[in-house]
Amino acid sequence: MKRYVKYLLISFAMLFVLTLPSLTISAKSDDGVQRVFDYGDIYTDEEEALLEDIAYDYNQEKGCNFLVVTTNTREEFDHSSSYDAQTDLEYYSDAFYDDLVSTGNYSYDNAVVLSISVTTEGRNADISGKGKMATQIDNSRCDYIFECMYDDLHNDHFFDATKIFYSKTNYLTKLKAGINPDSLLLRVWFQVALSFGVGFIIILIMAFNSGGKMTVNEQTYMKQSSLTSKHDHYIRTSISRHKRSTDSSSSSSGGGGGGGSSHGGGSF
Amino acid sequence: MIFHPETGLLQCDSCGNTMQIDQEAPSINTPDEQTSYDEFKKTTGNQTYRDDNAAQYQCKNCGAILITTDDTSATTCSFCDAPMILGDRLSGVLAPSKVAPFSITKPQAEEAFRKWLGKGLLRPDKFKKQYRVKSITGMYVPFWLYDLNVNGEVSAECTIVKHRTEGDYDVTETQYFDVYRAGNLRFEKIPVDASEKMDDEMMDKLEPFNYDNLHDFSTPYLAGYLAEKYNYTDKDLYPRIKNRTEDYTTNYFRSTMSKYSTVSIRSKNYNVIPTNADYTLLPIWMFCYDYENSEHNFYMNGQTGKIVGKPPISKKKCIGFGCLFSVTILIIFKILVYLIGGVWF
Repeated sequence: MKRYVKYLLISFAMLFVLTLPSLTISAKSDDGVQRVFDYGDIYTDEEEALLEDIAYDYNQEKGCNFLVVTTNTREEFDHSSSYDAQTDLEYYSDAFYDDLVSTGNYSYDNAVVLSISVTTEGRNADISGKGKMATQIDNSRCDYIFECMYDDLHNDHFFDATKIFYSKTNYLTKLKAGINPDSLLLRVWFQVALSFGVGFIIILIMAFNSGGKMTVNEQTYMKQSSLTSKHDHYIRTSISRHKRSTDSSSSSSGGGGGGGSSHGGGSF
Repeated sequence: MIFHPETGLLQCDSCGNTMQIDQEAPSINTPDEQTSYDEFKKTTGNQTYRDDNAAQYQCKNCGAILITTDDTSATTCSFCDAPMILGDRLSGVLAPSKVAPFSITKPQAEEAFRKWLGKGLLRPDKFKKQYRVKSITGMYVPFWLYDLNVNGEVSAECTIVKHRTEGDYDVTETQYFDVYRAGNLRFEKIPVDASEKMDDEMMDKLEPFNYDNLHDFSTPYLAGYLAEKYNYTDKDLYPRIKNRTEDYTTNYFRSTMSKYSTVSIRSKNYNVIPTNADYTLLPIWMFCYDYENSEHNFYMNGQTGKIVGKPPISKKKCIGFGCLFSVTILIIFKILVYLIGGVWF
C-alpha cells in the first residue's frame, strides 16, 4: 500500500516541478540604460521605475532590449502621408528606434519595441521586432502579443499590459522561429491531459491483455490462396489546400538602420 | 499405466515398465480392438446407472462405484487412482478421430504456472506471492478441426493520400480507386471447442496447437487424464466457424490492398464450403486458483505452455502505474517540445 502512495507522491512531485512557470528573475540593479520612454505619461513614476527594472532583468538574462515608448500626441508622428493611425504608429516606432540607435551611446541590440499612442484621435498599440528580432518576433507573433495585452490595454491597465508584453516577448524570443505560439501542443494543460490520457490508455490495454491474447491470424490456418480476378480502377483525385498555421515569413521592410522590422498591433 | 508426455509412452507408476502406444494398444475404432485392448479393458468402467446429469461406472481395478458427469469420457478412479476410460462415450458417433497428446508434464505445467503468476505488472502482490492452487487437472477438451474452402469477392473504395507543400500551403492530394478482388482460399484445421463447459474466448486464446503432433485417436493417450465428449456437433458450431473464416478471408483480401492508405470495404460476398471436420481431443491443463474467496480458472495449452485466464487486477496498481507512465510520457513530451520549440513551457 505504502509503495503506491510513494508512486503517487513521486508522480505528483514531478508533475509539479514540470509545470512550474519559468522562474522570475530576482536581481534588481540598473545599468543606466533607459528602456522605457513614457512621453505619453501613462505610467506613474513607480510603475516606470518597476518597468525599467523588469526590462533590465530581461536584458541581463538573454541580452534582449524590450523597449517601451508612449505618446499622447500625433504631432510627434512626422509621417503625415498616411491617414491610418496604426500605420502612422508603425512609422513612429521605426523612426523612434532608428533615432535612438543613431544618436545614443547604447546599441540596443535584439530590440522589441512596444509603442502605445493614446491621443484624442484614437488609442493604438504597435509591437515591432527590430533587426534580428524581426525574424524571431515576426508579424504574426507581434499580433499574438497584442492580443494577449488587449484586455488590459482596453481597460487602461497599461502597467499590467506592459508586464504581459515583457513576459510574452521574452517567451517568444526563446520559442524557435516559425512555431505557432498558439499551438495546443505548447499548452501545459493539454500536455498533461494528453500524457495522462495516453498513460491510462496503456494501462487499460495492459489490463485488457492481462489474461492472454489471441496470437493466431488467417496466416496460421490458410494453406492455399489464389486471386482469380482483380482490378484497381482509378476514379478521381481530390486536392485540398490549407494555409500553413505557422507563418515563418518575416516582416514588412521598415526603417533604414536595423535591417528591417516586423509589426503587429491594433487599436484598443 | 498412464500416458507420459516426456517419453510419449505408457508408463506403470508402480514398476516403471513402459509400453508403446501405437504398437500395443491401437484405437478402439480398429477391428482388433477386443484383443489388443486388454490393458485398458481392465480399467475401463462399465456403466451401471445413468440419468440426465450423471452416470455411474464401476472401476474394474478396485470395484468402486464412481459417479461421473454426463460429459466425462475419461477420468481416474478417485479411490485407486487407476485410469478409467469410459469406452461407451468414445465410440460410435462419439469416437474422436484425432488426438494431440500432452507434451508438458504436470510438474512442468505447475512450474510454468507458478512463474506466470509472478508476472504481470497489474496483478495484486497477494495474488502473485500466495500460491494457492486448489487443483491442477490435465484434460482432453473436445474440439472440431474444420477444413474449409472459401470462394469470395470483395469490392472496396481505397485511397492513396499524398502530402506536399506549395509555398505557404499544405497540399493534400487524395486519389480514389475502385478496387475489386476475387479468389479461392483454403483453410485447414481451424479449431473450435465443442465443450459446453469451456469458455469459448479462453479456448480461442489458447491457440495455436501444434498439429505436427496430431495422432489418430487411441484411448491409451487418455490414461491418467480427464477427457470430455463433445456437447456440440460440427453442424452446431458451423455458424461460429463461418464467421471466423469470413473474417480471415476479409483480412486476406485486405492484405492484398496494402499499397493503399485507406481501405473501405463496400461489399463482400463469400461462399464458405466446409470440406471436413475432425473430432479431435486437444490437451489442456486447467488450474483452479483460490484468491480472496473466489475461484479463478486458468488454462494452459498442453503442447505449447501458453497460459490464459482472467487474473485479478489491482486498482491501486492501475492508478499508481498509470500516474507513473503518464508522468514519464509528459517528461518525454516536454523534452520533445524543448528540442523542437526551444522552450520548456
